[in-house]
Parts: sequence; C-alpha cells; structure tokens
Amino acid sequence: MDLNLVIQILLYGVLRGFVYSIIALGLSLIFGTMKIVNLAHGTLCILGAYFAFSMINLGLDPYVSMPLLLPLFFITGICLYLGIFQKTRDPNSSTVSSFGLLMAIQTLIQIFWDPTPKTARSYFSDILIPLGAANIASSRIVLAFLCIFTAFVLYFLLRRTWIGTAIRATSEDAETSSLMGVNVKWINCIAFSLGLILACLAGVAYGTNYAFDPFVGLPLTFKGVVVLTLAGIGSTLGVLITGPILGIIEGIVGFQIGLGWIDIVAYLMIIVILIVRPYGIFGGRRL
Amino acid sequence: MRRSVFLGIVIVIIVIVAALAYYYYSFTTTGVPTKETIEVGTFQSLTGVDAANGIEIAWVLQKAVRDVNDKGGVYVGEYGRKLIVRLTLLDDQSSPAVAAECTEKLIKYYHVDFIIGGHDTKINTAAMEIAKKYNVLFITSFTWGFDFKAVKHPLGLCIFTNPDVIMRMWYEILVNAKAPKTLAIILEDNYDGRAVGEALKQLAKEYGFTIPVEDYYQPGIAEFSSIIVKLKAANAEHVFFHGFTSDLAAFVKQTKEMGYNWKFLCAIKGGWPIEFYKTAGRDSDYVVSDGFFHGSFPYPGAKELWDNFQASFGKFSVGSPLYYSAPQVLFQAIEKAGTLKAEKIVETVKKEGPWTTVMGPLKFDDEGFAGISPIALQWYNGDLSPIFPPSLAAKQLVYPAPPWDQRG
Repeated sequence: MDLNLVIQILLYGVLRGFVYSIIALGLSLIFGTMKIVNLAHGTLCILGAYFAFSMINLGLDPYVSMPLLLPLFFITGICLYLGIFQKTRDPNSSTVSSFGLLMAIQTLIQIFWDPTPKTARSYFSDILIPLGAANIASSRIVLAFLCIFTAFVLYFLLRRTWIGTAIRATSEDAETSSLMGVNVKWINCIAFSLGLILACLAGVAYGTNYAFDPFVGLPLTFKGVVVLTLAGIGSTLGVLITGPILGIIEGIVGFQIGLGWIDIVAYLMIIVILIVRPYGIFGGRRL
Repeated sequence: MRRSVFLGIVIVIIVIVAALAYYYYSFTTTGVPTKETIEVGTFQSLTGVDAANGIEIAWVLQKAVRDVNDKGGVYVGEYGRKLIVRLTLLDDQSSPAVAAECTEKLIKYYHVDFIIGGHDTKINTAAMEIAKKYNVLFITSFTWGFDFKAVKHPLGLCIFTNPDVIMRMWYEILVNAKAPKTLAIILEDNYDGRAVGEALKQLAKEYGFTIPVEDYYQPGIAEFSSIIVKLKAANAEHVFFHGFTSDLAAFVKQTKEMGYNWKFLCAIKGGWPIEFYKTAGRDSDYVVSDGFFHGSFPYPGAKELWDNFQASFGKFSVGSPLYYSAPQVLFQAIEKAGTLKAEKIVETVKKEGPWTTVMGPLKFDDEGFAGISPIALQWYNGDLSPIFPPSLAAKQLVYPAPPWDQRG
C-alpha cells in the first residue's frame, strides 16, 4: 500500500484519538474520585458544544467564549454534585442518576435549541494545513494541543498542589482521608466540577471539528470509557496516550475490515483488557 | 374513623351514580349516533433521534387539517353536511415500539376514525400491524412499498416509493452525464442502509457499473478518514452516501480535508435539510441529494405549501411536505365515498383517482400503494435545485464537481 495512505491512516487516527482522550480525562477524574461512571459526561460535553454554538450567534469564536463557559460549567458542576451526586452516595445509585441526568440534558437541549445537527465553527475550522496529498484542519491541531495542554495541567494539579493531593487521597481511601482532615464532600464536589470543566473543553473542541446533535453524547461517553479502561485509573498521561492508540486501531480496522467493525473492536478491547490487565495499561490499581 | 369510612362510602356511591348517569346520557338519550368531527390520529417523532423530521411533518399535517377546516371541513354524504377534522397528535419518540403504543392509544382511547403514519418504514410497519389488528384505516407517506405490502393491512394505504426506484435515478443521472461506470457506496448499518445497499448492487449489474468500495458504518461515528483513504486508494470518482445530516456533513468536510476530489457525490436522507448547508457550509456545494418535493412543482398548492413552510420554519424542506398528500387523498376519498366507513373509503381510493395532491396526481394500485417519483437536487451556495428528472429540473447537473483546490 502507498506509504502516503498509511501515514494518513495513522495521522488521522492519532488526531481522532485526542477527542477520546479529552473526553476520558473528565471521566477519569470523576470516576477516580467518586467511583461514578458519569454516563452524562458525553452529553455534558455536547452541552458545552451547544453553548459554544450559541456564543457564535453573539459574535464570539467558540474558543474565545471559553472564559465565559468554563466558570459556568464549574458552577453547574457544584450544583449537580450538591443536588444529585452528594445525595446518591452509593456509586451504583449515582451511575443510574447520571443516566437520568443524561436523558434530562438531552431533552433540555432539544427544547432550548432544536434536534437538528449543529457545528460550532471556529476561526480555525476552515484553515487547512497542507500535508502532502492531504490536509489537516487546523481545528484538529488545536484540539490535539488543547488535549495535551489540559492533560499536563491536570497532571500538575493532581501531583503538585494541595487540592490534587487531597483528590488523590480521597480517590485512594475516602474514609482515611476524612480522618486525616480532608473534607471529602468538598473534594468530591471540586473533582466533579473540574470534571465538568473538562467536559466543556472537550465539547467546545469537539463542536469545532464535528457536527453534533443531542444524541451523540452517549457514544462519546462510551468511547471515553474505553480509553479510561485501557489507560487505567489515575493515569492522566496514560489517558493522553491511550486515546490516540485507540484512534489508530480504529483507523486500521476501518480501512482493513470496514467502518462497521470499529465499535466492535473498541468494545471488545475493554473485555480483553479487563481480563488480561484489570488495572489498565498505565494504571496502578484495579478498576 | 367511622366518620371517614362513612364519608368514603358516600363518595364511592356518588362516583358510581355519576358514572351511570353519564353512561345513560351518552348512549341512550340519542336514538341516532351523531358525528360532529372526523377524528384523525397521527404519531410523529417529536422527540428522539428523528425529531427534526417529526416536528416538520407534524406542522405539515396540522396545516393540511387547518386548510380543509378553513373551507368548512370535509363533506360527508351520509351526514349530508361538512364535518370538521380534528387531528390528535402523539409523540412516538422516534421508536417503532412507542409508535405501536401510540397507535393503540389513538384507537382505544382517542377513538380516531383514521390514522396517518409517521416517519420511517420501521415505525410505520410496527404501527400498521396494530391498525390492522383493530381494522382501522392507516395511510402512510413514508414506508418502502415492499414493506407496506408485506404487512397486508386491508385498510392500509401508502404513498411512497421503493429503494430501487430511487437508486435507479442515480444510475440514470450518471449514464446521462456519460460518466465512468463506477459507484462506491457508503451506507448506514441499519435496515434502510441494507435495503438501499441491496438495491444499488442489483442495479449496478443491470447498468454495467462496478462498485469499487462498499462499506457500512454505525450512525454517529463522525470520523470517516479510514474509508476516505480507502476511496482514494481505489480511485473512486463517484460516491453514494446514505446517512444522517451530521454524518454526511462530517464525511464531506473530511473529503475536503483529505484532498479527496470526488466527481459525483450523491446522498440520500442527509442531504435533504438546510442543516446540511449550515453544518458543512460551502463544502456542501455540488453534493446531489434525493428529495420528494420542491416549490417549483407545477402541481396545485405546491408553491403555496413551499412558501408557507419557509415562512414558518425559515427554511425549505424537500421531504416533509410529501406528508401533505396523505390527508389530501384521505379527505378527497371521504367526499367521493360519501361515508366515514373505512372499507368504502379504501375501496374508493383504489378504484378512483388519480387523486389531486401537491405531489402531483396519484393513482393507487390494488394493494393500496401509490408510487411517487423521487427527484434529484444539487446543492450550490445553500440552495437546492432540482436537476432530475429533466421534466422537473430547474438547473443542469454540474458534473464533474470541481476539485477542492479549484473551488471558490
């Protein structure tokens, strides 16, 4: 096969994979701390994309609107945590609650916007960077940089700050952390709200690259769960690497076998990794 | 305690007496059953994945009912006067199972006389099975003909087409354009996608076409780079794409990004709405879409419906107005049959005609199916103009589509 085509499969796979990574970062933070698989995460991402879309109507580029949207999502995170997830403390109940949240947000999006597809076209969306026989949309490059930057900021936050230490401690053992003076309730609240900030970032980045409607959120959550499972809990940089790996695998499967096999292979990988290496490729403990 | 038990008994007695009185009043005081309205029920996808279509179709049906009521209603010979039509609309949530529930509810609780179907073959066939069970007239505008006939509902009527009719159109267009005889096909991996794929493959043999790439995808995957690499490797010049608007927009944008210069890209479903242009922008130029309706149709009411739709939604639709034809046929048939008896109306629909509709004159066969001819339209600068069949074409097909680097 033409080397040029091989490079394209790999390159677009890597770039697609960063979408999964940026979604999985938020999921990882919430799952790591609260043991909740937030099924609404992808839909919250899409909510971010819808807000970015609305900001375009106000004359703001999606990326420029982020300073407005991120605090909004942080506050939303606090409200959702205090209103729902603090009260449903059991992880199973919380996961089911997150499904209810997903359905509610999906319906609200249809009410406040409409069910037709949208894009949040950014200044970067239409700039193509030549690359041999193909091009790369600069918005994909921006997404990749945003993902890498976010992963390192999150890594620094978790490893080098007091709040990060408290989040990690709560993640390891909430009861002992509480005995050591950590306010577990507020740490969970902060972790959840940070997760929502990451959802907003992911949504804006997604919306500048792909068309979206209220229903694409759940498949995105599932892809994030695949990356999270492969990477392992607590491995921020692992999530950053695993997304592009999944993207490359999907690209090869799509080319060699067919597009219909992409999801099958991705979800089979979850089962295989849980059997072979239950703590993920980069994780240090079991899921 | 005794006091509350006594009160409870009194309330129960009052309720029973009231119910009996209502029953007596409703069913025994009038010797002849009266009919003030024609009850028409429908279910549409007001929520769920197909809500974008459902909301538009609901508007179209409401307009059809409003239009006939503005003229005083539908004349029913056996009552010797015009009756107002009342439309009951339920939400099928884009689900065949819910559509079947809605149908049962329309029949059992709303006591509708007739049912107009919703959007999508699976939804309509599920609902039609229920209508068949209760022997209620069911008219649909969006069900593949072969699926409609498979249900064998004696009181079923359908205005639509079959996959091979639409797919034949693409081959005819390419043959007319004297294009190389290849057509790569990319389809949604679902019931419709498989039906379309089979029709395309069958017709490829008849027209002498080769299919260099054939692939099926899960709706919503958003990333088509691997299949675009495959199309480039196979030097595929013509592509057929079947899918939702968001998927089509992603595909088109990625063909541009990856420098894949298709000469002819035809799409069904995803290319219908203006949202395709809104999401893909000028990258939508030269994409050819199928459709069923256009304001330029020379049929009575077509232009007015097109304009009214635009005024209400701020956009056009080449699909949803098709639904206007179902109530049009139903109301004309009631007037001609002079009764609300479903059997007589269906018999009239099949024997009489052609029926005047915004889709042109419609003639039904013995199984209650009226085939319509699809049209092909090409996008350019946010406008969708008919290019096929030649009798309805407003513009010529631009073929081949210019390479990406030569577009403005």
